[in-house]
Amino acid sequence: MSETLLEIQNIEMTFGGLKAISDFSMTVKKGQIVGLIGPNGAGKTTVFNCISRFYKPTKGRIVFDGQDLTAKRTDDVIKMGVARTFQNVELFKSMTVMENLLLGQHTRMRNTVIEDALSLPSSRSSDKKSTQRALEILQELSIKQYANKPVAMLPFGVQKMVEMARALVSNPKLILLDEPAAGSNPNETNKLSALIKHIRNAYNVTVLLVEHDMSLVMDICEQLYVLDFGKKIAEGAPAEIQSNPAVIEAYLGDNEEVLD
Amino acid sequence: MNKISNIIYDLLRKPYIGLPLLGIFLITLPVTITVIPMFQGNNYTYSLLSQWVILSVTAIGLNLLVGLTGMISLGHSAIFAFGGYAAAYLVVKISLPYPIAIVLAAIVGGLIGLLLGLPALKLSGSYLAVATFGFAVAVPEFLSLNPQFNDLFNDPNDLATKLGVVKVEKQYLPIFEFTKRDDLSRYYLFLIIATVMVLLAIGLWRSRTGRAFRAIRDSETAAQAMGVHIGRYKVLAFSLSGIFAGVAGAMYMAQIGQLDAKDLQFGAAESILFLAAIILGGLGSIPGAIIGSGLLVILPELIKSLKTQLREMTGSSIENFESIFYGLIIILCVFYMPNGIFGALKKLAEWMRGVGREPMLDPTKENNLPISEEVINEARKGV
Amino acid sequence: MSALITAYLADAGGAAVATILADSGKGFDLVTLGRNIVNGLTFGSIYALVALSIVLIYKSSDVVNFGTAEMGMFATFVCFSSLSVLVGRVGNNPLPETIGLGNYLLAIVATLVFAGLLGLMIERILLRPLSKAPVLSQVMVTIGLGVFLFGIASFIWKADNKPFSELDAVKSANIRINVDNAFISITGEMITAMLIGAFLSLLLYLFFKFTLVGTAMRAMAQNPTTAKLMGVNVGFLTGLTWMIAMMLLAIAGVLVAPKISLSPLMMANVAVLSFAGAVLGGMTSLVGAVVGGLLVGIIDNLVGFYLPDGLRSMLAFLIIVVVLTFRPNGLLGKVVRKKV
Repeated sequence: MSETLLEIQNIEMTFGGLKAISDFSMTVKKGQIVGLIGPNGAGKTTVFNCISRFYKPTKGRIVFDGQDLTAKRTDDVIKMGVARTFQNVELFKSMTVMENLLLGQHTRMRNTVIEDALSLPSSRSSDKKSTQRALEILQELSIKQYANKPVAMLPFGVQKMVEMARALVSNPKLILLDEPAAGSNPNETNKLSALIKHIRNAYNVTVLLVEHDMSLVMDICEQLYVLDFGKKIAEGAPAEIQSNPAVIEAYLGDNEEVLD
Repeated sequence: MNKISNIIYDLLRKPYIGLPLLGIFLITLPVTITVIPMFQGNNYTYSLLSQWVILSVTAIGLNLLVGLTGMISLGHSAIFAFGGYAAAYLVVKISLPYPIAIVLAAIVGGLIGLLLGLPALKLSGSYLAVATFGFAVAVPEFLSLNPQFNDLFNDPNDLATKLGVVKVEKQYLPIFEFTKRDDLSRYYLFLIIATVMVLLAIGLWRSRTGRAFRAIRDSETAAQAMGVHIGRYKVLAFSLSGIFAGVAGAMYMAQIGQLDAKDLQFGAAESILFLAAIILGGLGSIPGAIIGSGLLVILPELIKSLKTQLREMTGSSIENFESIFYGLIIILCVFYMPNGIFGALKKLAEWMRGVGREPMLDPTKENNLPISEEVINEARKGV
Repeated sequence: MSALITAYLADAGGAAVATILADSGKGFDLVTLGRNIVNGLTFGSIYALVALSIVLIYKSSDVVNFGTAEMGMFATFVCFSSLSVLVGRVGNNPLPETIGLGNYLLAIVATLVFAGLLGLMIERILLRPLSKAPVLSQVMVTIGLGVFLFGIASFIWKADNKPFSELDAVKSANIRINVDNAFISITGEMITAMLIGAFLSLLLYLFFKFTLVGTAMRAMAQNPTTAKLMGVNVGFLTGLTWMIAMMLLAIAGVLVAPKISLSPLMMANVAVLSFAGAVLGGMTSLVGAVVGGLLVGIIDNLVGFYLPDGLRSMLAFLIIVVVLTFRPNGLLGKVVRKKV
């Protein structure tokens, strides 16, 4: 049986007077592809931000790989093995694709400031190794040809791929994908589904994604959690969720009004 | 216009024209600054060159903070001053040899930079500018009106003789003993120190540390997600830039040979000069800092004739005339050359190379997501 | 335990204060205290006006105006020239010590018109194009403008110290308070400074609170997009804000010039202390600017008076750093919670 990798225990997130998330729990097992869905504003990205510790949940705990994530600092999260992409691609716009990927490996590279300043061999070989790894990942994602191009010039679709590569390059145990299919047409979404599955298999990484595109979600997610107004309203396999009345109501609103 | 540029571009691409041109450029520049001064020029030229070197070192350090990491500091004049005074104190009062004094000045600069960086953790943008500005204004007053520092320089000749070029010559540039042109030897010493600093800077720029700095500038959010400890790196950036300023201050002190705390103003005006150098030259680039510094050092020379003319016309001396040009340069650069001269040169080079002429993707192809067929097929095998 | 510490600090603090007083060689009696308070309020009123200018610009354009000192100085020089013309001053002769009401008022009006136009031009030509630019650009533009004005002023009016005139009515109005067999004299200058400072602060307060334009400006400062949607002409109002800010600087300059004599560097010190006042009061609060300015004036004259010169000049910096470290929003600024 697969072991639990991520466990969110009854978290609550309040901003000033607004309760964005209340009493939310979920579990992600190793090797799964899990989806977090819900209407706009339900709090999905807030959950992500709690996991990646941009926020500290006002109540509850998040346990990752046996460790209490809620006690960690934001920049420790990736060291523990959680990488993420962002809804509105947060690439480093002044840099090239390669430099972005090198930064993705920031925590894997051990050289100190002094080694860097003196351009010691240790610093340079570390860069070389990281460049190699970056090229491998770029190759895997079929974007190797963009390696030295500035990211600002790339089309949106390619930028999203770069972000995914940047998340992968740190060799994470868990990867959080924030709306990976946003802005893609159905054809692209298909390919994306295939890619995510491939990544999960090839890199042994667990995937948790937030998504609006139901075709992607239904296609690859093994487990779904549904949020509405910050509360969990359903969980289960995609097939169950599809026919869950609470979920339908959340997405489509109250049917009775429509009929009248 | 396009035709001409095409012609030039085609010409330059021919290997027997382009490469030699590049070679000539790469050789003449270092020669100009290193060898020629031995045979041509006078003390005045050497002092200008020295000023250029000193300002360059400061500017490179500041560029690390402002250009690379994206933070503002109006307070580096104070670090510069502390570096100078520290070195002066060590040489005059403790008779430490100059090179050790420089290293210690670097450390002092680094520490003060670190101190200045602490507010940076909590403040951003304008507030940080105000805080560093306050620092820049307070320090020179403090230094010049504080009895301990005046004591240090009771005998203005003290410093010159102790530090003096004679000593430097003998210890570090024995090959120039025969020249007896003190300013020249001093210039070469500065050049050596500056080269070391530039190499360190290049090391930082291109490495993991430099990338972390740029990440903070581009997106603190993403930087954190990549594991960059924002606070630590911000303070580090301040500290490193302080080291450069400290070293430059130590050099400046040797250049002047005497420090009278009352005369010298390491005030907000100097900080503005440093910022102007990197804005003019190019934020975030080492060559930019050097170019900007050079231009600002030459500026007073360039307007000298204008100044004398005006002086004759109005019959009285004109003070602060350079300020008019500094101010204009700063404003014009912000509007028309946000990436400085170096940035403009880079754009020019890119344009000539044809970057941006080819479309990124083939518009005739349907998709934007370049995922290979193998990957898709493998996934389709049902996993 | 904490009682012990407090007691110790009180002791140590007391000892420190005693040392400072003793070192300074200046007395601490009612008369001196009175004089310092009067000075503090006088200069504080001037700092309040400049701080208002800084905060107004910060609230409306989100820019810290580092050219404050030079802009105020330049406007004051314009007043100087106007006065020179009206009085018929020739060559290098100084201005007469006092000037009649008619001429003085004319000069002030001319100065205010100039200041207003300057503000308008700065906003329109320099700042509006940069509204989307990074903070560094905006900061550098105000700095650059300041440096430029400094150079031009030195060129036009030379860099020496010139005496500045006062209104004759003001000069003759003196109040003397008898304390302990000595006099605390409050000169007409001081009275005017305090009165004008108070008057303008009140005027602006009423303007922002009760007039339509003022309310629109407040809305704009809080949320420019929504304000635009509600029909507020943000561009026009931002220009107006700068006009007011420049006029405040001009008045402050004219008020302070007789005391410290006119020169291109004249307002440098004033500006630094005013910055401290603005920070102390909270960069987002106009009331705070006034309060902060007054407080800094008093602190500088009550505490700084006894400090050796070197330390006194660091007071402003210390205030800035302490406030920004422990309470970045100052005494009265609002805490803004960022939502990611």
